Amino acid sequence: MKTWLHRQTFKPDITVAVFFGVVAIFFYGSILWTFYMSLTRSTLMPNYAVVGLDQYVKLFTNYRWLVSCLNMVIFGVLFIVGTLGFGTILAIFADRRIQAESLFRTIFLYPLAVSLIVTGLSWRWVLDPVNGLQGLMRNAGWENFTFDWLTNPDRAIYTLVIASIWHSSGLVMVIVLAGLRGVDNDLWKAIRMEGIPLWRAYLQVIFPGMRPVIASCVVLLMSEVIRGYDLVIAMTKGGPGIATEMPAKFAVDFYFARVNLGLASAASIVMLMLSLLMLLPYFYSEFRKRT
Amino acid sequence: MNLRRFTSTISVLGLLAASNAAIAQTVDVQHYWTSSSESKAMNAVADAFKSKGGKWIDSPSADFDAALAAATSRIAGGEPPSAILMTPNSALRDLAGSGQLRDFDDLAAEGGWQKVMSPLVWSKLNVNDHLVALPVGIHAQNWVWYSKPLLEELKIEQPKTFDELFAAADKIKASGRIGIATGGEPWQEVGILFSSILALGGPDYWNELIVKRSPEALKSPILPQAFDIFRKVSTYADPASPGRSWNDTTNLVVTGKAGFQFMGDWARGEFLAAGKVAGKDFGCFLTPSDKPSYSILIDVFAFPVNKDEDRIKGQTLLAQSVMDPAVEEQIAEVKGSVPSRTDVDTSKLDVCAQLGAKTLATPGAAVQAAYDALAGDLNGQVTDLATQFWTDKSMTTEAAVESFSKILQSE
Repeated sequence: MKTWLHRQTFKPDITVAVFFGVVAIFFYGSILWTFYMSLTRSTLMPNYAVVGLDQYVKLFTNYRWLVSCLNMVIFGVLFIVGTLGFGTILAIFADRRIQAESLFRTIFLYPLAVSLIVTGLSWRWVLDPVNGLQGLMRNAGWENFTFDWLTNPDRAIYTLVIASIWHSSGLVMVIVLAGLRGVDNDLWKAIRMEGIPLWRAYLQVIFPGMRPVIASCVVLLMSEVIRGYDLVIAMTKGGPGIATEMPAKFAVDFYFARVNLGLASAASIVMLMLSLLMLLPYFYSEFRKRT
Repeated sequence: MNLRRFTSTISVLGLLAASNAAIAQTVDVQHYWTSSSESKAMNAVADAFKSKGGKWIDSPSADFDAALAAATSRIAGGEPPSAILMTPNSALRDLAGSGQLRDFDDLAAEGGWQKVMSPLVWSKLNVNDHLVALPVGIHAQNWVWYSKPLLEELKIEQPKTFDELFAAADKIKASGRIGIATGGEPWQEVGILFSSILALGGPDYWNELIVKRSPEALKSPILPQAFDIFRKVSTYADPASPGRSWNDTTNLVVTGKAGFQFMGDWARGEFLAAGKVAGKDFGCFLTPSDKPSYSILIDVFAFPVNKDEDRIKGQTLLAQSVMDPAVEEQIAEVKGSVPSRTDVDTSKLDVCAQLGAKTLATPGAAVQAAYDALAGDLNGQVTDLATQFWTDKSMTTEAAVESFSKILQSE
């Protein structure tokens, strides 16, 4: 057995070929199949007769889909900006050599270890107008205290933003902190010698040099936005009404509950296009740097 | 252990297992009956099945959609469940149309099942003249439930019209409780809209509007009135309503924290599971209407085509257990439904179930609920519209009626 193992030389080409084969079939193959399905009128089971772009027309005249896309943009922008801002501030604080740094780092990173379902449920309980924060404040004697965003159709989307910022800023904090730790000490010495105020040093010297770190954070957070499903399910189920519907939830609902494979596939393909579109600036800047 | 002895033990065990499987009649049941009353009903079926010598594999999902999703992927993956709990909707027609379901024409002819079912029920169970689904019980959507002690305390009579209902709800609200409890989930909201349409229009209008989708019915003044009532009900929703499940909402009525609830008669099962007695602790009536109407939702088992002999036998045994009048009666007793067989003795059921059975037997009163009647995802689109109208108070009735008409005429 042992000698047999030794006789085998490691063949990287074969290993890699297998890996690429698996990716090609299960990843790109699935995408192609989904695209095919989006051109058909499949309902519960696949129907292989191609009817053209009907499903896409239907999709973009569907009010719920449009609301979902708009929600994704609102949620995405606020979530990415908020998480980046909050995470960076935490990282800066942690970088100032505070006491018990590792304790705080663990505390702030902890939410990331909690699944989005648990995050959503806990925030749902906290924000519940009757049993949560509002009820607590009112019972404590503050009769007019109102915080009913979760059940207010115009505000519910912001509760999702709050919960997801809480969930993800720890991640941004560690990544940015690692970047900050990588900054050359000479640079800091120069800054001190020049007497530049700290905020300007961060804003104009340190962060511009950390562009790749920030870019990785943005890409990571964007994938969260597009996948945004479990948090919505746990917190609002897309409600009140259709106020917090998201494209991913639209696709899942139409695959299963509405048994409309064709329309759901069209939605998935559009989501893929949207993700590529969002990543375009990133690819563009990366590509320009290389050439 | 000696390797050879080990392998021989394994193969003997394997043989034993194989021979055992050859005798057993196995069913793998994909269902979503998980609330307390629902699981009692499922146990009634399972116990009857097991007492006849079958082996029951329970595959529960959290809700209806998840159960159907799981069943569909299992069928597509070549490992179909032996039975799926569902309703006779477009998904059933799709499954049957693509040849995925076993039919029970032979058993039905043998047992004379057609004679003991109402024609509407029978027509829903058949796709292309083959019996592809077996009824577990018949629910109806257009019920209203109320807390009897609460109404007695405030000296309110059981309402007979929508005006009386709203007056009563106002009185309850003034006493610091919830007038009409609703769970703010889209399917619960659209149920209230459909109940209002049926109550105002009666069965004939319902069939014109929902089943035939005739353009004249869409122009009727009944439709805007129904939307107005729907809007009026929404004003009684409490702040915690959004996202609340139906059984949590029923529990508010059970405990006297709320007066009324618009909900199908599966709510009765929750009252019973809480140890309440119909006519004493809680009351029921059909949504106020001068024409008796009953919009039925049938719980059915569909049986995907299976290849293993023991599984096919298991399906046959399960079919016989489900159609057993004694089992049907037991389910109706715990679940809140009405037996689907007309020859089941209903005298032992409570006043609410008897009202249901009586209305179901009234000629012309039973109509199919929108969930089953509307083709494709029309029901889904109406649900989206209803929940939008429910939450967005700035949406006008005219705009809602217009969208409603557009949806119904889109296919």
